[in-house]
Amino acid sequence: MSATTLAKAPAAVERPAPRGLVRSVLRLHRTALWIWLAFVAFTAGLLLWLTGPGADATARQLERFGYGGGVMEAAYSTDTLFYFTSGAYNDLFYDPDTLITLASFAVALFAGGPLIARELESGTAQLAWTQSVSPARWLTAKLAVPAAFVVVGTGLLTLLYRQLWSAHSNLLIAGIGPRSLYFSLGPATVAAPLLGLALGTLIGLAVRRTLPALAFSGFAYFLVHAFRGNHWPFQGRYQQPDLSSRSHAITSTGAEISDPGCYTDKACLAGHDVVRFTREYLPSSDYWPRQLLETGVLLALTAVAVALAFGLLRRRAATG
Amino acid sequence: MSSISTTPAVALEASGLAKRYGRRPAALDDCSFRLPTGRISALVGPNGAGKSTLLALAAGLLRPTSGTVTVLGGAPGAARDRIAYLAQNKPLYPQLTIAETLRMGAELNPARWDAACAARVVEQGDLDPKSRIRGLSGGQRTRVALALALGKRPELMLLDEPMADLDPLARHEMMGTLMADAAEHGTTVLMSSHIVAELADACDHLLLLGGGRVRLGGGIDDLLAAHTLVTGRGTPADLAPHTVIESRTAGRGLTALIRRDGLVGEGWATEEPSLEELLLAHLRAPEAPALLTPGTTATTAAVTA
Amino acid sequence: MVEYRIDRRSGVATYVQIVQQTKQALRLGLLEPGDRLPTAREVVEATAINPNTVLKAYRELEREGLVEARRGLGTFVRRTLGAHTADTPLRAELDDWASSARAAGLGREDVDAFFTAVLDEHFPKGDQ
Repeated sequence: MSATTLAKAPAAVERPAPRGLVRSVLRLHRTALWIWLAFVAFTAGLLLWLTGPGADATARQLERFGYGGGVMEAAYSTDTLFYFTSGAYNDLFYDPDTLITLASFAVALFAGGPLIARELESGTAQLAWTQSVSPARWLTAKLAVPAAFVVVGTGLLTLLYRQLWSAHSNLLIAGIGPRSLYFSLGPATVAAPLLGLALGTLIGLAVRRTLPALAFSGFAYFLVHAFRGNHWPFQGRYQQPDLSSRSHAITSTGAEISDPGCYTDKACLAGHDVVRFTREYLPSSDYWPRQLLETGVLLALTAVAVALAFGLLRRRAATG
Repeated sequence: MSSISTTPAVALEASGLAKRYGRRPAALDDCSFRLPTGRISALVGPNGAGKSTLLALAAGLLRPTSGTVTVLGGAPGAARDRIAYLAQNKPLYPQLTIAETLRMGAELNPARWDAACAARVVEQGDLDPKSRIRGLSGGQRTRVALALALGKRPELMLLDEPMADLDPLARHEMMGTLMADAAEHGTTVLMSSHIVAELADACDHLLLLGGGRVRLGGGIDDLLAAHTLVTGRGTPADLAPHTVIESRTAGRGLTALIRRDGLVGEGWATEEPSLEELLLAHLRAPEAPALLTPGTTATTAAVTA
Repeated sequence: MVEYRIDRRSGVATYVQIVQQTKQALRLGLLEPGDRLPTAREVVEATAINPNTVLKAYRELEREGLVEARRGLGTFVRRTLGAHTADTPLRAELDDWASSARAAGLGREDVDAFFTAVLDEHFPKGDQ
């Protein structure tokens, strides 16, 4: 085109303030937002209850009768209001983890379905792109807003969980459970749903139809989950490491002796002059290297998925 | 015909534009034209002629396979804030209310939004701003979509079958609203439609697509003036210097739509065709050569600044 | 103020219809010098026709000296058109003629045909 036909140079394009775009994204997905906030509130409440009042009865049992006579018994006798569970403190301890895992799945499904694919399928994404919003800015907002909520929500829950662990991990029945819980709580807990968000977005953009995008996002996040949960086929024998625990009975003189195995027999306890018991899980020295490595891998994959998503978007539309 | 020197500003220009979806035949193929600003142009063509593809390319929603499209003097993406695009299925967020939809328009177009204009379009349809998009009829949704488009105060409107699911009254009202906006702001409009009557009154410019390119392009008056409906005794060969678009014999008589080249000979009754006759003749005769009036011809790549 | 009625099936070009209806309004005294014609926006909003069609009609009226455009204000009537209907001598003559036609036994259609033929003779087509 010859320069002379341009009567006037196009006015500088005024970009919408990010605030408006963010408000729009919040309004569009407010139902999902409320569900997320409800989940965070409920789970945080459960964690706080487990840290405070929920632990009391079991902790008293442990102190009086030791691990065998206290925690093991209490595992089968604590009454609680919540279904989720056989009713034992030990089982409830794992429920927030289950909820966080389910929520991460939900994040991946949300990203693939309602966040991206449904908009492309119904044409509302194109509606947004023909306002003063470029597709790249649209996708940025679509990723950043949920990512902020995911990071804040899961971050808060992870902190509360770490606090609960340091306060009451001694009340857990030894076995594979405490190990897998311990090694899954940390920055990686936050990074995993972020990867779910990025994968869902990528799949949503690639598939562009809601139902298939939901299915593929679910499957993709299942692979992530399997990798994290040691079901990854290539992980082989590199399972989560042992997490040793130490139990002691303490006599009236303050001496530490090994658990006499009295269970709830008070005469036996008096005979051994046991006044209370202690029990703790020893922190694993390779927690942080493993946790940070896992977080790094998850975040790197997230970055790759996000980059691919933007690349795909750029190939689709004239993003100028 | 006006002189070439007063070339009007160009709202939309396509040059060798092509779009292919996979291995299917090209939706657009070497499509070239220019749409001067301030025109209200009808985009017409048989189903699958590439009307929706052309509009989506101009809106920056698709990437051309080859060729270029220039919108308001720049790339389609760069003019995003100055164009409005109405897709055929009028997508809107079903979970929002009308008021929220318009607020979204304000938030996403902060530099240009005209809330009063958008609200007026909605009010005309007796719509409650608090009702959800989900519960609206097709026609009501179209009204909200048009309110969103007009509220943006666009310089170029790209409308894909904007009135298809409106009842006659709503259609008349909406077309009136659209024309009023164009009258007030000099908005350029390119709208596709199948309803010729709707276009004949509202449009002053025509782009007829066929086989992926423009077959007729230009001001409707100019195009009509370039064609003549002739009736008389004779054969198509007798009309030799002219281009015969379509001819039909009835008994001894011959009726033909021709593109004149000089004067029509003696013995033929001549008449200016209606827009409908012009369109139908060209739709029935896909092999007819293309005609673009000077203002509508795209500048070729050979032109240098 | 006039309101234009566009008849899509009349075969008469839309801008011509506007010109004719404006003149009709001038003849009937519905529009008088100084009156403002509706703006293009008002006309197209009501009729859903192309704005340029209205502008073309107004230009035509302006060319004939019937109206004038005042920048930023609108288009105003400059002069009225034709003799005013009711009690002019011409109308009285026509009145007389119609009575004689009726007395001579002519029907409405006959008179119509008569009138059109004479009209065509004195005012050839295209002579607006």
